[in-house]
Amino acid sequence: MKQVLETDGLVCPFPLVEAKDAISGLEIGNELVINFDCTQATEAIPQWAAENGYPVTHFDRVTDASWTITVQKA
Amino acid sequence: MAHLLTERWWNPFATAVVIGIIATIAWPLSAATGRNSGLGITTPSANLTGYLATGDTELIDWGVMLVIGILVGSFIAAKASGEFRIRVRDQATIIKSILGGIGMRVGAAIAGGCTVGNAMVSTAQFEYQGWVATLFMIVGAGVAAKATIKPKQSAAAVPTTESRSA
Repeated sequence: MKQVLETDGLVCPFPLVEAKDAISGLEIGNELVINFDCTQATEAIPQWAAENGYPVTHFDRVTDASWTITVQKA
Repeated sequence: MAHLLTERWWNPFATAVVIGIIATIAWPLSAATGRNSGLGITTPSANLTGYLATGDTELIDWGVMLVIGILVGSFIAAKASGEFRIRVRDQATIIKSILGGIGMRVGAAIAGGCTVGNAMVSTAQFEYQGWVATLFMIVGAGVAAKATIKPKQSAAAVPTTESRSA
């Protein structure tokens, strides 16, 4: 199952802070789609996922300065 | 080259070295125009505002050009990297940013220089003022981060009916 976390409009580091909070409520194997528009998170979110051993199943730039990343809880 | 400038991720330490080199070159370049000091943001941006208000061209010096260059350069870099878009943050963030900006100005006036002047230039000159200011900037940022960076209770993730895409 997928859950979507909309963080557009939030300044860094809040997309990551919200993602950490949201993923704690997910069951193992479920995915969290994080939509964000602060540049710093393009580095901070994948790094956080890697540190926790969460696979990144999708990562794309939607439009100028807007990204989506899907992290699977593991 | 385009890939390196607009796409590739830069290691923060490599970036710091590049900034260090630029900050060093800034000294002779600034001195060559008759302005004998290093990188600066606060005084030059005050001069820029002063020029806009009074039209006094005496205020336009190397530092003012640097401040304008930072704006133009950041715009070009962001645009070329696909990272430029006008984004409007929520009310609370805007108000906090304005208050933070005013606070930084007051702090810069008290400390005799902004974060750049104290942490980058003054420390490089081995001035004790720069090191004291830098230490307290780190402490202040740490305290503020602890106090303000926490998840909102309301922003829970919404489940979606979208099926998984393997």
